[in-house]
Amino acid sequence: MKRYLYNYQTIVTFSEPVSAHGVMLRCQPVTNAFQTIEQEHVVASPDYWLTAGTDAFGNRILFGGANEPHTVFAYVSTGIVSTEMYFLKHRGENIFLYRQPSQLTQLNDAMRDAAVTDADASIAERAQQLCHKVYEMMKYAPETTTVETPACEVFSRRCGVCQDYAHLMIAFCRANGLPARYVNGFLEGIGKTHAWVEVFDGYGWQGYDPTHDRELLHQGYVKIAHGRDSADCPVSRGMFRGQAIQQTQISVTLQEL
Amino acid sequence: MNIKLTELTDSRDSVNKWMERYGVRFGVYKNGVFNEQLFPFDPVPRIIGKEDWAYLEKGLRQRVMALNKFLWDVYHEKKIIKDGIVPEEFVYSSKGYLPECEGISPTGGVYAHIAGIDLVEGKDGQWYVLEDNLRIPSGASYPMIARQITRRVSPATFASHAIAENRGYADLLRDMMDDMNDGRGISVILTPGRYNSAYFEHSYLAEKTGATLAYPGDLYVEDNKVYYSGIYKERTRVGCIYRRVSDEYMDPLVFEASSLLGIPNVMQAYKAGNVALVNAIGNGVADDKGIYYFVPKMVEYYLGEKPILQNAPTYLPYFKEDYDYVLANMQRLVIKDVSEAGGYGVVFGKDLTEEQLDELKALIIDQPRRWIAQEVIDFKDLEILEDDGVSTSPKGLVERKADLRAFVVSGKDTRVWCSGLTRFSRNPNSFVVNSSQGGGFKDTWVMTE
Repeated sequence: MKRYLYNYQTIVTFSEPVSAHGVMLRCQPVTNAFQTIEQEHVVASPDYWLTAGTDAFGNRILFGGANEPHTVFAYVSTGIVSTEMYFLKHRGENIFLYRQPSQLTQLNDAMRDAAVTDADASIAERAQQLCHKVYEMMKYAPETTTVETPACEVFSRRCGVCQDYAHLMIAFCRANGLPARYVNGFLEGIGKTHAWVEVFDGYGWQGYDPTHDRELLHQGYVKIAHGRDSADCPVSRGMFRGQAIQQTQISVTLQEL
Repeated sequence: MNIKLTELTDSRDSVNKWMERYGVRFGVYKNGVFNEQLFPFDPVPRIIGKEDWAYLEKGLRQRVMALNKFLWDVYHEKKIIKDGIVPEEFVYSSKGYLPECEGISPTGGVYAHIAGIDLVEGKDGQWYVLEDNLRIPSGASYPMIARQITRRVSPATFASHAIAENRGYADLLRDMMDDMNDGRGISVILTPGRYNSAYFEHSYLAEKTGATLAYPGDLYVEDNKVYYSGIYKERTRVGCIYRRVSDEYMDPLVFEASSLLGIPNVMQAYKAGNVALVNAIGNGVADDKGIYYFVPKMVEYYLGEKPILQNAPTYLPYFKEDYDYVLANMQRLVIKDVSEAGGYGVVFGKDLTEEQLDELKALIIDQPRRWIAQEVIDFKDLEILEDDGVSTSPKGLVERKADLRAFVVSGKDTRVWCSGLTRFSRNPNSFVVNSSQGGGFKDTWVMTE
C-alpha cells in the first residue's frame, strides 16, 4: 500500500464579469478496489452552491453554479488517498458500451489494419501489444492537438498528448473487439491531469498507460473518472452568460507520503 | 351519414384566411434563410367511425403503454435484452440511446408523455403503424385551431352531426402536466423561441393549457431545483417542463456544450426528482427505425397481450430468415437505412436499376444490422379539394395519399385524443405527406354515433 497527498487546483479568470455560471466538476478521486480516500476537501470561490452526485458512468461529480456576476472562479480539491495494485473487478457495468466506437474513437480501415494483433494471444497480451504499438507509433507533442481531436486524426498525424494516446489505444482495442475505456486522473509528481486506458479482460478492468508504455500494476496513478472517451468525463465543464474570454490555470500535485 | 360537403368546401378560403390572421404557420429554413409558410387546410374531413375508433384507441393505448415500459426497462433492469427479445446492438448502438439517462427514474415512470403515432389505412381497411414519435411529436395545434375556426364559419355542421369534441387535447395535456408536476411548482412550456418551426404551436398550447411559455434563459437551476424568472425577474419554482427543445440541447453541461437553448444542470435536478421533463430524455432509443420492428414483441413481452395494431410488414436482414427474404425480394420492398448520419434514407426497390440493386445488396450483405425492409402498403386515398391556383372556384375533389398522426397522452393513465392530424400530399404521385414538402392537413372527425 502507498499513500499520497493530492492537490488539484483550477483558477478560471474572466475578462469581464459573467453571470448565470453553471459548472460540473470531476475533481475528486473515486473510492474503489484499489484506491481509498482517507481525507478530502473541496473549496470553491465564489460561494457556489455545489452538490455531489454521480454521472452516467458512475463517476463522482460536483455540480452547481453562481448567478451573481463574478470575474474569477477557483476551486481546490485536496486530500489523502491510499492505493493498492491496479485492478477493478467487473461489477455489472454495461460492457457493451465500451465495445462500440464512440464519437472520438471512430475507426477507419487503415486503423483497423494497424490494430491487428495476434488472435491466439490472451486479452492481456493483446492489450499490452496495442499499448506498445501506440507508444512506438506516436510522438509526444503538446499543443499539436485539441481536446476535440478524434483518434483517426491522431492516427494520421502520429503525435499528441496523453489524451490522444489513450484515444488511439481505445480505438485499437475496440477494433479487436476488446472493451476499453478512457480514464483520467493524477500521475505521481507535479503537472496536469493525466489520461490512460482500462481494458476489460473478461474478469475485470486492467490499466494501461500508452503515453509511458506501461501496464499499471504499480501505484502512482490516482483515478478520477472514466467514460467511452474523454468527452464523457472532462474534469470540468462550465457555462456562463456574458461575452468574457476565459483563461484557465490548472495545477496538480501527487506526492507520496 | 349525410354531410353537406358544400358548406365545408365553400368555407375553405375563409378558414385559411382566419388561420393566416391567427398566425398559424410553420417556419422552414432553406439555404440558411428563415421563411414562414402557411399549412394549407383542406375542408373535407377524414371521418373515422365509432367502431373503427374504438379499435384504434385500444390499440394505441396498448402500444404506448408497452413503449413506456420498454423505455423504463432499457434505462433500468434491461430484462428485454437479457431475455433475448431485443438484441443489445439494436439498443446500445442506437443514436437515441443516452447513457446519461441510466438509472434516472422519471416521475411516475412515464417517458413518452406525448406520443405521436403515425398510421395509414390500407385499401383493405386495415390500419398500419408506420412510425412512433416519442421525442417531441408536433402538430396537434393545427387540427385544434382549424376546428375552432370551422365551427365558427359553419356552426350547423357541428350541430347536426355527432362529432367527438376535440377541445379536450388541452385538458389532456393539462392533467398530464399536473400529474407530473406533483405540486412542486408551476408548469411551463419551454420553446426554443420565435424562429422555431413550431413556435405557433408552442404559444398556442401554452395559452390553451394555462402553462407559462418560457424562453431560453428564463429557466435556471439553483440548489438543484428549477426556477422561472420572467420579465419581472421574479423567482418561481418550476415543477414540470413540457420542453420543445430536443434532448441534445437540454443541458449544456451534459450534452451539446454550445447549446444556448438549454438549462445548465437541469439533468441533475431531473435525476434528483425535483422536476419532471415532458417528454423524458432518452426516448429516441424507442422510436428508432430498427427498434420499430420489435414494438409488437414488446406488447407481448410487457403486457402479455396480443398486439392490436399492426406494423407495416417489416424485415430485419439482421435475422437470417429475413436476410434471405430481403435479398430475394428487393424489387418489391421499401428499404430503409437505420444509421442516422448520412445514410441512404428510404428507397423503393422498384425504382432502382439492376446496378443500383446490386450495389444496395452488397451494402446489406456487408452490414445487415444497418437496414430494414418493408412491404409497400397500398394506402387508401382521401379526397381533397383540388387547388386550381386561383382558389375561388374549386374544380372538385381529387384523391391523394394521406396519413394520420394520433396523439396519445400518458400521465397517471394513458389516454388517446379523439382527433388527430391528417396530413396529405398535394402531389398525386407522392407518398410523402411531410408538411415541409408542400402538403396540407385536414380535420379528423371521430364519430360518436
